Amino acid sequence: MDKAIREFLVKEIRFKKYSLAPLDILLLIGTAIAGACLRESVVSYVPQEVEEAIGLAMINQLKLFSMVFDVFLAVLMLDLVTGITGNKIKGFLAYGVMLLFPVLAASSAMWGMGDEAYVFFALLSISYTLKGKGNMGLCSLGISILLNANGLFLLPVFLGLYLRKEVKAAAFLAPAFGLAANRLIVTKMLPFRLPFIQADALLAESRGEAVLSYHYPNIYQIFGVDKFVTEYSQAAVCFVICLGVMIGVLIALSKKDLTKERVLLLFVLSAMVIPYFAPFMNERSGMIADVAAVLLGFAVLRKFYVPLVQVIISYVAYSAYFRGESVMPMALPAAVSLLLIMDLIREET
Amino acid sequence: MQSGLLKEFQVKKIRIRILDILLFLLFTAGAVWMRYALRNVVAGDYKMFFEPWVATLREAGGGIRGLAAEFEYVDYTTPYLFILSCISICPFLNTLLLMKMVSVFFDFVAAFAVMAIVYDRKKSLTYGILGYGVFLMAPTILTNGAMWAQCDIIFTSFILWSLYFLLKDKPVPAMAFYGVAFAFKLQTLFLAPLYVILWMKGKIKLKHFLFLPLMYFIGIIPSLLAGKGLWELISVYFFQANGAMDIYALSHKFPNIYQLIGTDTFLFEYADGGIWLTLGALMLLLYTFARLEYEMDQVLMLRMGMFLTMTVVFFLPHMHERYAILVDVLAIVYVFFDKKGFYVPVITLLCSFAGYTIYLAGNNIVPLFVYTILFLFLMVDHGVFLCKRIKGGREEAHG
Repeated sequence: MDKAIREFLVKEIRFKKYSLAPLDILLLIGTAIAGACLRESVVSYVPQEVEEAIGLAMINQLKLFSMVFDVFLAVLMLDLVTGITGNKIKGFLAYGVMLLFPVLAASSAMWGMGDEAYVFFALLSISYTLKGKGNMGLCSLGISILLNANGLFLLPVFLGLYLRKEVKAAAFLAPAFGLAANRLIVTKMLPFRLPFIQADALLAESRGEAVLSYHYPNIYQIFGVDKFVTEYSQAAVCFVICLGVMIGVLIALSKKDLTKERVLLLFVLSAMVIPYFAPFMNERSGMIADVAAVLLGFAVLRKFYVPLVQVIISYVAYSAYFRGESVMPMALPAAVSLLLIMDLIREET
Repeated sequence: MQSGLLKEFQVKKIRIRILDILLFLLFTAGAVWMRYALRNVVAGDYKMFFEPWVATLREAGGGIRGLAAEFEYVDYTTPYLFILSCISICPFLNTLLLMKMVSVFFDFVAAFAVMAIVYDRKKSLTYGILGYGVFLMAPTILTNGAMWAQCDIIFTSFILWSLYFLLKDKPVPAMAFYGVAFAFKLQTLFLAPLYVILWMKGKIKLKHFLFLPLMYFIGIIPSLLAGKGLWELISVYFFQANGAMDIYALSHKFPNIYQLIGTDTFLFEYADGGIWLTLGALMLLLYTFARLEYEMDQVLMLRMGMFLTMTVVFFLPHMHERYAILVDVLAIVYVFFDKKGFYVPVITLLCSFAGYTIYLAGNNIVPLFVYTILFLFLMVDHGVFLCKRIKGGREEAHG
């Protein structure tokens, strides 16, 4: 009987063009339930500042909205990992990892800022690009940027792809439009309110005095977040723009083939480097890097540690916000993040 | 002299040298001496829990009669309470010493299991005795019973015997010992995912799992005889699983994930979330190890055992300082299966003992999150090893 049960669990059953084993189905359902219960455990928490900034009713709507996008992200990850690796077991595992990913669960169920939506479109943008549809990737990135300007973190890679004639100049209109619309909405120049786009700005306003980094483990955590805020932030914006252009040019100059793995690594690198130097980053600014790192970990198995380290760094930042202080000096995760960036640069060169 | 030490004689199938006997005597004497040196240490747990429990058992008459006692709070099952109840009416020595002696006795039971496992692997009694010695000198094993008067070694010793039979491909005694361990402590289930994988790989049959309820039931018979209700006896583990007594911190000086994100906030939210995260992580690991095709060998079994147990204690909330004891003993055994893995027990014991020293000595020299990072590093190392080994095995199998 034992043998029969074991064989049944791994026996492939065909559903049209897909084949699934009962064990696969168990994993898909089991991780979905665990992911839902994980979120249910923490959903009652509402950050006071967020409540004051956008109101409880809106937070609850945003939480639900974010959780729906958590599922979309998991399904997209399943498709992407299966497509890149050709291994559906890895795809199922990636789906499960996404549903249980602590930063996503905390972001949607505890914070409820709707970040998952822009991250979904950023991942979709990566997905299109990896499938050779860079122009569509830029369109998707445009939507991501419209929802949250953090989508810009991926732009340097597209610049490199443009210089290598992989995408068309006209496609850059999408992110340009997205950014313009985002700024108009965030700065309340348009007559309507879109809380899931304005949430970040409202939260920043409610935090009081501006600092160079809101617990985000970047360069400012090493050198200080509260001195020369105006001066450093202005200089840093220029620095980041130049850095983005530099990344694009270096991609163009590189003689290496743009394999899927390499493009993916460049996306992860870009999503980590830009917020590392950009001013006013908040705890959740590493979310594109977090999600893209999971994809990298499954696609390039030797880089499995990248998502692991990245998620710890990110959650330390989250926890610093939730608790009001970090368990460890934030300079430590910032230094580890720098090491991770250097490791990815070494891999790329 | 030299040839005298190496002189061999045969007892049944085992070849013994004079050196082996001397080593055995040395390690045994050393182990007893070390434990004797720690005999007078009184830990907070003893004053707060064990002493009042033994007093309650004594008032109720001790022995089997003592088990009828009503406790305000107790989270031990009948087998250990029965031992305490017998201790309560023992006319020799004091309670603390008697409790420590029980744990020390099981230190040796476990050490003999290690000796048997290592002997079977190496086919050398000298190595077996070295395993016995290393085990008895391990800081967490030494201090758990002899210093702290804790009894984790009891269930651990049964798990080690279970492992011994598993490695010999004898599932019936293996599961019987696992069942006995379960009758003593809920923490036995930390290793349960390994047994599930072993079932998937055809090493164990489903019916063998019945040893768990069977042994648990046998274990509670003395309390039933003393007049306790069945539900009350069965619900001890439910009470423990709810962590009703441990809710004041997400980790009790154990170097796990909560040391990175804070142990004192979101006590209820993270406690529930942590349980789901653990279940989810186990689902992913069990799926991976069950779905892939590979040959389960002894090294793989030990590494997998450590990896799965570490995953459980890394994510579960309310873990105490001592809860990695299963990982400690597996790591000690492991080094005799793969000498290149010498760092495994070193790092494991270092991380594990960190919590002990904070509790027992109040020393917190290195922040616990540093040990958490080390612990995580070890988990990653286990994961990488398992991936490579499984992949290597599959490639070999497919030519």
